Amino acid sequence: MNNTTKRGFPLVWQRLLRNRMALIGLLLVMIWIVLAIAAPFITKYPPNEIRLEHKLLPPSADHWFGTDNFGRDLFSRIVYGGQVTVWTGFVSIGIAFMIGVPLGAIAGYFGGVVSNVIMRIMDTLLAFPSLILAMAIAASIGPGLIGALIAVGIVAIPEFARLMYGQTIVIKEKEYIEASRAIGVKHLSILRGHIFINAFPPLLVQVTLGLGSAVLITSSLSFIGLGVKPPTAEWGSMISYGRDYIISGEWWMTLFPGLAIATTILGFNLLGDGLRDALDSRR
Amino acid sequence: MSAPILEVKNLQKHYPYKKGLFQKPGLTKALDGVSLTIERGETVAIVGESGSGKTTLGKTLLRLIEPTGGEVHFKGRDITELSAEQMRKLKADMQIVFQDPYGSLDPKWTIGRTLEEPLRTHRSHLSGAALKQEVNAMLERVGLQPHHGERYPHELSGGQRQRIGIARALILQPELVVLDEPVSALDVSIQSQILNLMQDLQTEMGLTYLFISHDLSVVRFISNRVAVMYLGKVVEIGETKEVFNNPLHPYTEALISAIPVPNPNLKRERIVLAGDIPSPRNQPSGCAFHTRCPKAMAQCKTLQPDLKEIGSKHYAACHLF
Repeated sequence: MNNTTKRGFPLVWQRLLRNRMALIGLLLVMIWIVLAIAAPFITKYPPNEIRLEHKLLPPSADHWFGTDNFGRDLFSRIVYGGQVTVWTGFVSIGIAFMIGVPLGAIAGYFGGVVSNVIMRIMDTLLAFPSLILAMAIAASIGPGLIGALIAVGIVAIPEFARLMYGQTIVIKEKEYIEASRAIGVKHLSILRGHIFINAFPPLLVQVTLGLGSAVLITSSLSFIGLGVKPPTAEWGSMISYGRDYIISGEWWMTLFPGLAIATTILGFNLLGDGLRDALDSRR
Repeated sequence: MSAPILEVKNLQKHYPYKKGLFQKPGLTKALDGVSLTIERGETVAIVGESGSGKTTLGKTLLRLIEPTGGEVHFKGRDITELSAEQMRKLKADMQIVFQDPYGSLDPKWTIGRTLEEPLRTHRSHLSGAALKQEVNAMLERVGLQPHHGERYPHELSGGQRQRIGIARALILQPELVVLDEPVSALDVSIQSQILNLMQDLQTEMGLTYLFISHDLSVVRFISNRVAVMYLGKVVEIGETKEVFNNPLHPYTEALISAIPVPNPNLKRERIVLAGDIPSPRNQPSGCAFHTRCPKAMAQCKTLQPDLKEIGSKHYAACHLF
């Protein structure tokens, strides 16, 4: 085995590619990211072009996923909607990571009152179901992309804080941390250099899984009208429009955005599970 | 004679613990009034069973554990009164080598980065090239090669890792080094290499060692003086030769009689102590050792013996003398 020669990133990568489910997850995620980036080049119709004479057309060679009640091309809207989804996902999880991880690290490292204050606030946030909390925050900010971003970000903060808190408590008791303290290394350097680096693998898994739930919450917010404002294409709001047409038989209006949401979340979850296995140093 | 490098006076570390909901908290006396003087350039060994407080002593001297009482004078300054920032700076002069060569190196850091950490902390003016040069010089000094700097801890053997632990402690050229059982996790064949290395480095760099160990044959080999600890107190201290040839305290006698001798035909009296070391939570009254002492007398149960000079520079805390 050449496992002994490889280490760090190449080893994790190799293990990930050997895991079929993780590979499927990676593929799904990559497809949506590539489609979102390449949107202007692969779509025939602008996503917001209303052509009432073409409304409610079933899938065909011209309109792959059919058209909606305004005659807009559903394929274009889904691909452009992917831009919104990918963007909100990464930005909101980025916010959650940058706030949650330092909070958890400080709470775990210093303990005492600081830890109690931070972690009890996190517990309070965790006490609400994430969707309810996101709705409340989004509603108080008002509908729109920024509101949804902030809402999804805040909801994800405690997940990162709690994970980092647990990691920090374990890692700070290691002898190499005591060795650094014996050298006189400053707290901030210990937190950055030793604790964060050793806590990184589970955090990366959490980022991937968090992206999945961020997609779900963003779409849900849009579905109930708290997310992206129309006419911007977004998967959740597209399902919401299509809802009225399920009974009359225009199934494509809900099926395709639904599939888009499902495959994206599935992709992130499979990738997250695969990463967790690949990063497990005990193997 | 010049001033001692380290003077410990009545050092205490008491941990409070909860007994019950409505009871007064008790005190675990991990260190209970330890006094010790270490001269520049010598090696003082601290010996004792598990739970005797020897590691706590080593770490309290460097304020890795904060003492609850007493004084530690390092080069004439009471370091227990220094601020955290003053103490941080002083750590360049007093270092520690840990027992576990596996746990004391960050698994995610290369050896080179681990060795650079002390330099980056205390000599931040050094450039990248100068850092590398210092690290390589130190690696060679502990018997390794510059290419080991690119390795990760899991790619090295236990002996090599302990060499790294020593290199990290010595790269800032400290004056006092606490060696906390530095060889007890290693194979016997590697132990002697590491011990010799530490002795060579001591002469080369003019180091003072506080050597913590439970292995008396190692202590006999490396130390000038030896202090015997029992339940957070020093019960005997003296020149190594003197303590080994003429142990005063019954506990020291028992420890020394337990050293294996290579000659199976040699008849000697083996003193076997009954039971385990008592918990430091509820220490016996009087002399803490009276519960296991073969020579215990009536007054041992009530009266705590003080450390008295009995031979030349040979102290013991026992009512027999």
